[in-house]
Amino acid sequence: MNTIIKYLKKGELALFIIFLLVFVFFSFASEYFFSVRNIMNVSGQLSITLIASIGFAVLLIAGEVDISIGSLLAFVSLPLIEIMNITESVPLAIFVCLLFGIIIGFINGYLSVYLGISSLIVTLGMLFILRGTVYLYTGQRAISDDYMSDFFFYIGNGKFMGIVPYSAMLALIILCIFLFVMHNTSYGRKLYAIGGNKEVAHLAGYNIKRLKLSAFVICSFLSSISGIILASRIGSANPYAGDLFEFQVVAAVVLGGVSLAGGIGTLTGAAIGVMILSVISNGLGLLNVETQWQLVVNGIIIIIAVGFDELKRRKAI
Amino acid sequence: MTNIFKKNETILLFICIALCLFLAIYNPQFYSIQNIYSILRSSSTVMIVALGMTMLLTSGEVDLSVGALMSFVTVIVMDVVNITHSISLGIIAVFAFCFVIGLINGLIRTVLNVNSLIATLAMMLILQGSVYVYSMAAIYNTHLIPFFTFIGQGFFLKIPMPIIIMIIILPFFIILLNYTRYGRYFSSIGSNPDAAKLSGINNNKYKIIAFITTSMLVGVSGIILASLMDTGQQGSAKGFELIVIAAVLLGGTSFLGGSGTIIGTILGILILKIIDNGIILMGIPQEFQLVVPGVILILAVYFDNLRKRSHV
Amino acid sequence: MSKSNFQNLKIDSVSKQFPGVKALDSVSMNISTGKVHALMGENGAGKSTLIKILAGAYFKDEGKIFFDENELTIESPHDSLDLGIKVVYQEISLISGFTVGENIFLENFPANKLGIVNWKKLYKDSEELFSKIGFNLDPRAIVSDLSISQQQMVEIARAVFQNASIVIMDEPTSSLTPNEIKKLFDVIENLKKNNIAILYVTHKIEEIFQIADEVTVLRDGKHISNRPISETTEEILITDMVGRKVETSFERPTSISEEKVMKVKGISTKAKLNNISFDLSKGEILGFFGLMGAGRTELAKALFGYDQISSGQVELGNKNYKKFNTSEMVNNGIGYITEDRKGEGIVKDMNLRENMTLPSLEKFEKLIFINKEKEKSISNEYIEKFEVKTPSCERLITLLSGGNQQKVLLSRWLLRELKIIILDEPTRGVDIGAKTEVLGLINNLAKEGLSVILMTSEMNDLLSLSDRILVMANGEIKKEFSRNKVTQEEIFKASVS
Repeated sequence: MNTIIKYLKKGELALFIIFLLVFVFFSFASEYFFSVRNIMNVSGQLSITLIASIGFAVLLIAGEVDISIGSLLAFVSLPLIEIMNITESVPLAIFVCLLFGIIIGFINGYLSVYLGISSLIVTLGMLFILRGTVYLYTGQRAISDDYMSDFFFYIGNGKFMGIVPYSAMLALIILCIFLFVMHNTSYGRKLYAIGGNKEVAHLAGYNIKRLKLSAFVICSFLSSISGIILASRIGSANPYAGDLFEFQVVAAVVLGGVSLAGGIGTLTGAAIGVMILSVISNGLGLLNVETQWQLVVNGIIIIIAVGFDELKRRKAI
Repeated sequence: MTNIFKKNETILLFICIALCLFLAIYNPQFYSIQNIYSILRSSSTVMIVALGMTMLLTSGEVDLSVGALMSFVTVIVMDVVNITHSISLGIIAVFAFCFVIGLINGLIRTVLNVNSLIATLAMMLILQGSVYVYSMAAIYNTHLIPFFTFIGQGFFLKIPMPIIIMIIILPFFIILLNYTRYGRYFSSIGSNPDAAKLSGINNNKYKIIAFITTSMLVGVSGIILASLMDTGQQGSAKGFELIVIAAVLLGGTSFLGGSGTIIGTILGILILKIIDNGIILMGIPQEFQLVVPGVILILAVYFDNLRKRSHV
Repeated sequence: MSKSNFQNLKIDSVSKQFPGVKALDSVSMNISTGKVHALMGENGAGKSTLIKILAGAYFKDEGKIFFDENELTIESPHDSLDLGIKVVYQEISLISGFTVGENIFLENFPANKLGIVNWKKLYKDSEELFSKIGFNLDPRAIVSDLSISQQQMVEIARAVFQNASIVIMDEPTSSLTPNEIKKLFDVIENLKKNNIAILYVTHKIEEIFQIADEVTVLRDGKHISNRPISETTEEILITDMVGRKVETSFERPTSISEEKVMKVKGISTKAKLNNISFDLSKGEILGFFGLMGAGRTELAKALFGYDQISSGQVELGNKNYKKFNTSEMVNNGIGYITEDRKGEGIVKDMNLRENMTLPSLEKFEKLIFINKEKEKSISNEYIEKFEVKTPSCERLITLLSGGNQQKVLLSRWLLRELKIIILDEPTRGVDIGAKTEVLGLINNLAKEGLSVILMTSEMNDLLSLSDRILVMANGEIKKEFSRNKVTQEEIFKASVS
């Protein structure tokens, strides 16, 4: 019980209450919302955003950003589907897909940390490079999964006991693992320290470059996992997948209290942020509000969340 | 004398000329009149907005929403002109809208103190969503007013209209940024905002002006684009902001203060557009057009960083 | 126990030169373990330079530093920390999002092979550490929730934990309440018992007599005296700190105009200032004295409109100002010279001419165009006037020396027709010859009607130029003195009360 309390601090409690409010609202507003089927449906979609958000949050806590994760989602689905179709081996496909993710993360990290180019610029450029490459390779047409492996299908669509989606369970496991790492290992604490006060961390003898590089890799790695789940759900490698995904992630993570300045915020908060935005998105969809409103909502949420963040910081000074 | 060769603009000029020669040899279609006009037209729309973006970057800010705004503008202008049959009303509507957006961007930055990168990113999302709320479908030209088409597709003295428009606007900004005190104000605000403030400069006022100016320039480019496409298209200017920013950075303006020159920016745009054009002429898949600006952006900033560090 | 086992830290004839000023001139000192050694001096005496050299942030030009007979090489902050030299600055260098315990163990979290942190051990060891040093702090508290004094304690605890052999404290009590100061002193006693040497840098004389065993006084970069506390008194220390021949006084008019150009009525700011009121007459030079943290710069910035005042108002002419910005003040004929030349003064990407004309560009305009020729001629005029060492007015400002940059900043305002000028350390980094010239110029302008607010820690400048002297401490005005009727010692005493 104590550990649960330790993980849920004041800020997160407020967020959780907001989540409950939103949940209750939509339960009344739409007759379809509060059903086992819908909730499980949301959990399935939410898992994609959540896993990537965990990676994004880890990197943000360490003081850097990666806004190319949406394009990465589409990019890694290419080797995934192609290798699966050709070799008929799902494990191999997954392995190569994750490998690509790690390599991209490494490149992002190397350019940002070792060559000193702002990570915002690097990943902004990478966003376009990856998306362009995807269009290039696919000719802007989806590559469908011809192998049709059951296992692959279950990754994104399977349900434990017919109810709880496997992907949601995976997301939960990943969340727990990284929560533990960030709060209970010296590695995780060092990431917080680097994001919190770089000079102090430097004087404490941390290898800042290596630590930041690893955070980049984690972010891309987890985004690749999201890409696998997404590809499984849509049954193909879609060149338009993940469009604007990075902004959903940013909105969720910032809403969840992870500071853009680094060093502050928890994965729990980020997770609740994802839950809130996913519920809103799902609820609005059930109420037949068009998807473009969600973009608007995301944008407004970012401004409000960052504005609050700034107010908090000014009050502290 | 050696300084001229090290200068950014000279390097860009060489690259530009080299690219032109290379493409001309590779595919004679390159120097056909139609092709050159096409390059110049698409460069104009970028250039017009780049003038405002230069003001912003010089003063230490950025606006990532220009692409989304431009798409929105094409929809608005086509719709209003269709309905009212008056180009003047269309233009007024666009400028009013752009003014408001620019003002909001400026206020979020100065009053709410939200970092302009995030603020304009959020605005980009909001605009991208809202344009579909305004109209789900693309808006076709039903008014068929000849002058409208003339704006983008017409010629004056054998020169495409967009270039004329750019040529009219350009000197104003060159003078503003290089020969009036406002240019100095923007530079000092970007280079050392405290020193600027302590010299009696009202930082917030000028930042808001820069945001509004940029948005209004987007209005101009958007109208030209609508005329060229003969449609109001929701996603038409996606990725536009990247090219603008890459061009301005290539031209020597830097986030860290210090302004590049207008010539540098023009050359930067030409290089990017010629590469774009070359990709098609050389039969390279079109999708590379997304990849290239991304790579160039990273390289441009990297070399800019190197240059800054060797200075200090 | 401590990183290095030694009896004495010996500083032998250490000197440090900066462009235009010798910050330390052959300073020698002996700091013994288990003792508190106080280091005193006015602003600019050389205290921070010495600390920075010990901390590895600066490198000494001459002289040697020893632990007993072993000579030390300190070339980086890491070297300094490795030797066990730890500085507790006013700016806290902790991770504010972490708990106290995590900060203590920052270098080395107690963890198993997998890297999993042993929180129990971390907090238990922290508690033991605290009881050894003698204060109670909850190791689970988050640093950002702590008061400044508590954060200081954490820094000290960190030092002890890292087996520091000497802890240097730089003005440790400037933000502390009397209660907290007492707690700090208890902790220091405990440090002494643990055989740690303490270098206690301060200007507060009463504290020295409470806590120190020995006192070294620095003045103008030289060490003036080295005494055990029993062999000195407050008077002796003050004389050591300020006692110098006052140089040429400037001739000031015997009576100042009755006309008031500025009336400051009860202004306060959120951060520091508290109910400041005074009047400024036409042609008057009003000097402000105060030690670091007294609030002079805050006052200067508030008067100029850079910072907002939370209450009170400033009356200029007939208008009352409650909310105003720098634009308005500049338009009212007020100028401001900052003490932070690099951060707030020069625009580094611009050249000398552009820097000089920045506040006055409307005056250089022909229609809307800037008249570069006029800029050049005025700049050259002031380059000559102040003997600014530069090949031309087109030179990039960052390539000038600090002193010359300061001259450019002075010119920036003096070329305007000002009614009031606010000067914050105007002669910092300027050599003696130019100093006299600058001060003479200010005197002449004052005679012609310019009103001057002069903030300076240079006692000489203050006494030789001011008509009245206001002494500030803790964000308030403590005392007012009249020129020619006050001594340096009196002024200094008023600033530490």
